[in-house]
Amino acid sequence: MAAADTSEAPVLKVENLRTYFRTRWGEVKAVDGVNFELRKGETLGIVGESGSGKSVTMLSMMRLIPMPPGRIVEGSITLDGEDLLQLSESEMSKVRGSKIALIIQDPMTSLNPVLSIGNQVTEAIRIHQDIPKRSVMEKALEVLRKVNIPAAESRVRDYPHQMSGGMRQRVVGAIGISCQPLVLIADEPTTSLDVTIQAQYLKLLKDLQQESDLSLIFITHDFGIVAKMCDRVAVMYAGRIVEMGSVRDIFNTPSHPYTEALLASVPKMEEDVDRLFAIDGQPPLLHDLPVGCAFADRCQYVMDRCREEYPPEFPVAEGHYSACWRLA
Amino acid sequence: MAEVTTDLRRSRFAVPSWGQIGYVIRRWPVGPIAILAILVIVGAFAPVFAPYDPLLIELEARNTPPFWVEAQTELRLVSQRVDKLAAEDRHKISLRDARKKGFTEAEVGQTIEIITQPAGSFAHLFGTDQTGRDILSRWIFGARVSLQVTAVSLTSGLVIGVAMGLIAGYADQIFPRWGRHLDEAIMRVVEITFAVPTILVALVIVIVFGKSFIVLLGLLAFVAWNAFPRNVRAEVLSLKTSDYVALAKISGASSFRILFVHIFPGVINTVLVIATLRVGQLILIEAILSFLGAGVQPPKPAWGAMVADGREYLGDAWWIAFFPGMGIFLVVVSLNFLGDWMRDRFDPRLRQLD
Repeated sequence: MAAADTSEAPVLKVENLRTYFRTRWGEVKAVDGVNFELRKGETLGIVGESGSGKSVTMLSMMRLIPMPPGRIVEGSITLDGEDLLQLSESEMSKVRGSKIALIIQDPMTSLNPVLSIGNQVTEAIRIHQDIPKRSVMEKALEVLRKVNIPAAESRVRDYPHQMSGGMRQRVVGAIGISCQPLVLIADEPTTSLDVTIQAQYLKLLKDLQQESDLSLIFITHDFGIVAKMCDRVAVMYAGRIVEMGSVRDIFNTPSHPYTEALLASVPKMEEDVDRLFAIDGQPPLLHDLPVGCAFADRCQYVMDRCREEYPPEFPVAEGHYSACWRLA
Repeated sequence: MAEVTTDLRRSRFAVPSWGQIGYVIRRWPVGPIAILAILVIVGAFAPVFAPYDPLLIELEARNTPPFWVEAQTELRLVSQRVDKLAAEDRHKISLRDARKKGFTEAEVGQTIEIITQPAGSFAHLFGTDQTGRDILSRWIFGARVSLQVTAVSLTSGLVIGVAMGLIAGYADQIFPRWGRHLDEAIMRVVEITFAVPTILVALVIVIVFGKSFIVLLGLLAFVAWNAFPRNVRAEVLSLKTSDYVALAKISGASSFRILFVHIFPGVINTVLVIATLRVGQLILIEAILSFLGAGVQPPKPAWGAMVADGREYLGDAWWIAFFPGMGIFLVVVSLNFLGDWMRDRFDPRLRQLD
């Protein structure tokens, strides 16, 4: 990958993305107008509670939304100068795995039990690159060594059941980076790993990123990981990004009440509390969103205007904005 | 100094105890595999194993019993029973002779027949049939016929059935617009074939198209195929939503690649189990059709036809029907046991630490 490319043009630009699902209760607006940019070598964290649209955003970017119930209503996803939403299915499958890759959550189920590790690691290489059969195995070894699989020579022939969870997750990571993508999306890659393995894995991702100037998107609800890994953070609520800014800004001066509440509910080492803070109420039903701010019913600062109109993005600082009427 | 001796010879070449043998037999389907292996080997190399030409008629040696049976003479009242077989063994004897021979209730004017059954000999281990053909040789060639029939019909049925199952299960991914309807159509066709009374329809087809080996193979292939689509489809439906298929999609694999490289290997174990269980049914149906005269045509030896031939002589020459009947029974039972064992073995829900 051309590391010399230092222009400020974003690698990935998502504009006004809307993905809806048709259900028997009505149209579910899982992603409802998401905008963000990602620069080369940057790590963006996307946080939010379950059902806030994080995973649907990522699946939309891979164009893997199951199409009968779901559809991408509008928006554009520009990767490397190409609008992914305008590509045909066969053009899109050339992009998947080679330019944009995804690491999925569960390493225990995301490897095929009947294929060898080497076979699976080189899947994307064999699909996207025209290289002779003999060197495919060398490629597999190279990729496995990159993710620190010990004794890669013998491990390529192993099957998933012969590996531990952490090792399998590293193999899944190896599949993700095998074609040197521009953007790697990690969808809660560490939720099923124990803490020490988590730390190792995160370090590995960081190293890989520095090595090849990869742009990373981290989907998580673990603020610890966000603080450790990310340059910028996007906070999602009910299908929209409600606040976005650098990690420092988000942690130090959260300006959306939802971000504030999220941070308040993270347990802290230095404080001794009997009960953890919890946000009152339930997230709104996605098929029946209120006209105004979706967080209004749970917000401690709620004003009349919040219920009438959805707040636009208000700049808080350079590169930090928040969709809250309090900033108006 | 403590003396430690290890009897190497003993530990290395220890004769397995009865317990160990029993363990192996309980754990592995030794019996069924042995029976099927013998059958396959014998059938495949039938000309090598068969002591005689299965079609060779040897009238002098007809109705020879199996080797362990001893010769016997029997008197019978002809008015009660006419034996077609032994027409020239029939003599008229005097009343006194008849009474002497133990036929105490004989009366004057009655015809009594003396049936002399020759002893079995090692020349014909399983005996001979009513025209003096060697039953062992016919049995071996019958096994060969069964093997041929099932191999051909199962292979074609399996290919068609598995393809149907794969298409039905995966159609909505390949053809997003109308794939579901294709799935529905295939599954309804499969259900319709389940409602077809196989034997009856087979007889009708044989009447319409005539008796031939090709028609028989076609019929059996038709019987074989419909077991596969349902199970294969069910398996595909669950595998296509698995994380590793999602990961393959993420890597940019095409629908066909996903179907053949990622899903198909996961279906093979189910297919194997169904195929094993189906072979038993196919052999049985082939035997039934041959028994009814709609299957393999004489003089070609088939087990079903041999049972049909022997049925008329059950009272006098039980061995004609017994050996082919036993063959059908053993094969079908073995295949069912083997299939059950494989199903348990391959079922991931039952797979625990060994």
